[in-house]
Formats: sequence, structure tokens, C-alpha cells
Amino acid sequence: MSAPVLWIAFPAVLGVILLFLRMRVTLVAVLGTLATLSLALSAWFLPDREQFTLGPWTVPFSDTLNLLGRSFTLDPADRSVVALIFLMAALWFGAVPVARTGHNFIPLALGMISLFTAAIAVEPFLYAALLIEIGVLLSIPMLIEPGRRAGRGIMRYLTFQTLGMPFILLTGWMLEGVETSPVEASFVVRLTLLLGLGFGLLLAIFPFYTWLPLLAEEAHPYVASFVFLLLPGAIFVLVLGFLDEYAWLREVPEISTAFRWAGILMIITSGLWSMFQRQLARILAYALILEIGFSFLALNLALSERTALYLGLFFALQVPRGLSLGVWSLALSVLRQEAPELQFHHIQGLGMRFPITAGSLVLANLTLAGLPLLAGFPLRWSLLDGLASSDPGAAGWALVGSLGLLIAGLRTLMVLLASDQVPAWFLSESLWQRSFLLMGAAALLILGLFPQWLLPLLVDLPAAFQQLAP
Amino acid sequence: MNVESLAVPAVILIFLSASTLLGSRDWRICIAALALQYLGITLLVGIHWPIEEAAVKLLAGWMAGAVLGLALISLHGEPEPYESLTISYIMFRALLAVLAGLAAYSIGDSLVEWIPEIAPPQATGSLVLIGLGLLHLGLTTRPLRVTLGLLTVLGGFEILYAALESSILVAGLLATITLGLAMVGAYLMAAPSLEEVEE
Repeated sequence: MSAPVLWIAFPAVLGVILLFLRMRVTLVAVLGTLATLSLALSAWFLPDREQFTLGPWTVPFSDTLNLLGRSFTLDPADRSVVALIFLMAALWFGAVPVARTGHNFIPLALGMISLFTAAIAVEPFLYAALLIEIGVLLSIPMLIEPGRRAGRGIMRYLTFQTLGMPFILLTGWMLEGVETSPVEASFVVRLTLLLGLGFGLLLAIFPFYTWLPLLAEEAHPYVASFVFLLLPGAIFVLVLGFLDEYAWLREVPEISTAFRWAGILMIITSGLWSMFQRQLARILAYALILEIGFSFLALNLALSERTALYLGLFFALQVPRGLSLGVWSLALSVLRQEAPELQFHHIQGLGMRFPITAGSLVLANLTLAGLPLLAGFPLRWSLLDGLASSDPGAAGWALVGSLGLLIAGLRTLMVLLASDQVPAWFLSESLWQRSFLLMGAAALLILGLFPQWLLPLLVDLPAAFQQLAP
Repeated sequence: MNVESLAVPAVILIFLSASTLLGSRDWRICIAALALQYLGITLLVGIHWPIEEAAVKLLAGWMAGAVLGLALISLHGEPEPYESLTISYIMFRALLAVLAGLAAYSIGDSLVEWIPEIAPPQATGSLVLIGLGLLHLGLTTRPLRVTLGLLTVLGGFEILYAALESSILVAGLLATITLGLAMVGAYLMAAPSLEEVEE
């Protein structure tokens, strides 16, 4: 037995088994949730030992698995990240019967998780780009359900993700053997260009993010949000892998500056564009772009000062992001059953018939906008505080972007409550829909009021990058 | 077998097949051109790799073509019909192909300077595929065309990367991506006609 077998091979095999059972939606959701929850808990609590005793048997346990001449290693430092991935998956899978996604969602999502965990484990780390690309290919049948036509969003998603991979592999080749700072300035320019294009395409950095709102509109919101959460997370791990492996790369000022400007551009444009959207899923996509922008700002600060603190903040941002996207997309899934297009003129007044759904949706939107007392606020505040001390202008622009998303949330609320008739409130959601949405909304409030409950659990996450945050 | 002597014919084969992919609307001709394109890719990869390892590219490419071909047979051709073929359409695409070929030929030497590991025909062949593949992607959003464009770009990159990396794992993963792209393309073409089975 080895760690890669447990956290990479097992979910992949389970995904294949669940593919055969996919018509039994509830059974698949229960099995998927229990399995991912168990894997999350085992990643968090399994002690670091070379063997385990199970009754009369002694099972040897290794961190490494060798395959075709390369190794996959998940050492104890990586396990916090692995635990976070599986915990998010468990939360997501639990609400699948309520969200009414396609039958293939959980089996294929398990395959994606397996591949993205392999991307964390593979040595040399730059092969992760290949595994992420295979994960992207696996996500396509999840995003476009049978019976639906492939639109421009899915085609751009496929194109941009596939075109990004070669740049990362070429950059990895360029960096081979460059242990100390390179002398040639032209080398640094070429390298920055390749890295910028590669990660620009993969992470949907401005101006390559046009596929995100289009895809959000075309796909099931719950499935799209899962991909939107998992994919940038995996690619950011690749970014951190580069920074961890090559110390001199961290000292190149252009890289840090590029992170800052990429972040600011994404926050401003997405915040402003979100104000003018008239389709709910598109607002969610712009909120994700804004979140990727804030991740870039956290990385920029981590490269400049107090690396461990801001790297911890970078990982901590994933929690309110995951929760908010989950609640938001679940609410959209409920509304979609009533108004499939999710256009403003279709959802007008629906808030009175679906008050819990409408409230949860707006709460999730406001959380990602960084409103005080909600889960996103404490981390956003720390980030903006750090940014303001080094570049007040950038902090101001980041606030403007957040304000845009806040206005988008308030607009959504107004539309959901606008009605020509006399208001008549009643609950149209099913019991399960109410329960999941209320639990999610409560988590957003509780984490906003008591952030200190969450942060100690995330303190080990930067340990996976030992050179970057010693 | 001396593969290097076949390098220049392989570049010509690649240029002709990628240009055919760009210009032709008949899916049968496109699948045949894709098969020939992968033959050229294999010959250029064979300059650095033993030919039995390079044959993995041929196998993956032909299987990708077979997957797309089978999907199109079952769908009785591409789901959406094309507009009628015009002279301007043919001339425009032929001109684009020639320009991309000339650009690849002139940039090839610079690429060899930057990556000394690759041979000049490999550089030219790789750039021809990347250029024509990108043009293909820029001109369409149809699932078959996007898949063919991506396979073309990826083929160009594989020639380049074969000179730099000979790991079996990488070769296997790239072959998986080639096949996966074909399967995704087949799925996207077939998806509108598929029905979700209810529980």
C-alpha cells in the first residue's frame, strides 16, 4: 500500500465503478460523499508511519509509487492540500441529488480529483500540466450534458486549456539545470513570456477569461462551479511548484509585478463587468474571476514579504470560495428548475416563491464581494491591509472591483424581489433543498463571525511547499 | 532504416496534409489527411527516438482518426451542414496555408538557435503544424474542426518536445491526450443527438 494508491488510484477506480451505477443517483451520491469524506479524514489524521497494523496483518505504507520510470509522491506535507480537495468534493457530492446534475457528474468528478491529486504528487512536478489537461478532457462530458449542443464557451475552454499545456512543458524544459539566477536578460524575458502565456491561458487571466462566463451560461451551474473551483486550484499548485523548485524565480521582480497586475486587472474588469450582467450564472463566473485575481494578489504579497503568512492566506481563501460557490451554484440549480435560462426577466419575483434560495444566493454573492460579517471578509481584509501598506492604489482598485460584485448582488436581490403583483411569500423549495441551502448559508455566516475556528486547521497547508515557506 | 533521409519529405507531407485539413469540408478527406499528418509526425519524431517508440505517435494519431471517423459514420457526417463552397473560400484558405508555410520556413532557423537539440526539418515541420493548427482554430467553433485544429497544434508541439524529452511516461500521457481529444470531439459532435436516460 502507498499514499498514491490510496488518494489517487482508489478514487479513480471508485469513479469507474460508480459510472456503472450512475442511474442510481442517490446511491452514487452517498457512496461518493462517504468515500471522499473518508479520504479527506484519512489525509488529515493518518499518522506518518512506514507500516500500519490492521488486526493480525501488518501493512507496509509508502509515500511513493514508481510508475514508468517516474515517481508519484504524497508525503505528509502534501496531505493537508489533499485533505482540502477531498473535503470540498465531499461537500459538493452530498448535495448532488438536490442540484439534479447529470448522471455522470460524480464518477467523472472522482476521475478529475484523482488526476489533480496525481498532479500534486508527480515528480518532476511539471508533468502535472499533462495530468491537468487529461482532467480537463474528462470534465467536458460533465459540463455538456447529453442532449445539449456544444457552445462557444466549451470550445474556448477546451482550446485555451489545451494550448496552455505546451507552454508549461517548454518552460519546464528551459528551467532544467538553471539552479541559480540566469545571467542572460533575454532568457528571463523568454521565460516570463512563456510562463505568462501558459498560465494566462490555463488560469483564465485577462484577456483569456472570455470562456468562463460563456461556459457558466451553457453548463449546469453546479457542475460548472465544481470545475471552476477545482481547476484553478490545481493550476495554482503548479504555479507554486515552479516558485518552490526554482528559488531564483522568486527573486525575479517581473514575476511578482506580473502577479500584481494580473490580479488587479482581473478584479477590476470582472467586478465592473459583473454589474452589467443580466444572467445569474454569468455573475457567478465573474465572481470566480475576481477570486482568481485575489489569489494572484496573495501570491504577489507572499513573494514580497511575510511569505508564510500570505501563502497561508492564499490557501485559506479557498475555503470561503468553495463554500460560497457551492451555495451559490446550488441556489442557481434550484432556480434553474423553475427558470432554465436564468435571465433577469425570467427570474423576476421568484424570490417570493423561493425565499431561502434567493437569500442564500445573494448571501454567497455578498460573501465573495467581501462584505463584513460574512466568511470572505476576514481574509479579504487581511489581504487588502497588506496590499495597502505596499501599494495603496492597487488596494483601492481591488476595492472598486469588489464593490462591482457587491452591486451585482444587490441588483440580483432587487430582481428576485421585484413583482407586479401583491407580494405573497411562500416556500416552494423541497425539504432537502431548504436544508442544504440553510446549512451552507449558516456556514458562511458562522465563518464570518468566528474565523478563528477555521484558520488553525489550515495552518499546515503551505508546508507542501517547503522551499517557498520554510 | 535511416529516418533522417525522410525528414524533408515528411515536412512536405505535413504541410500538404495540414493544408488539406484547413481547406477541406469533406470529413472523409479530413480523416485521411489526419492519418497522413501523423505519419509525417512519426517520421520527424523518429529522428530523435527509436522508430518503434516513435510509432506510438502514429498509433495514437490513427486511433484518434478512427474514433472521429466512427463517430461521424454513426452521425452520417457532421451534424450541421456547411454553406456552399466558393472560390474565395478556397483561395483564402490556400493563401493562409502558403503564408503559414513560408512563416514556418523563415522562423525555423531561429527556433533551432533557441533550441539547439532540434533538427531544422523538425523545427519547420513543428512550426507548420502549430501555425496551421492555430489558423484552423481561429476560423471555426465546430467541434470537429476545433478537435482537428487542436490535434494539429499538439502534433507540432509533440515533434518539438520529442527532441527535448524522451520519458515513456510523457509519451504515454501525450498519447492519452491525443486519444482523449478525439473522444471529446466525438462526444461533442454526438451530444445533441444523445438523450439523458431517466432513472
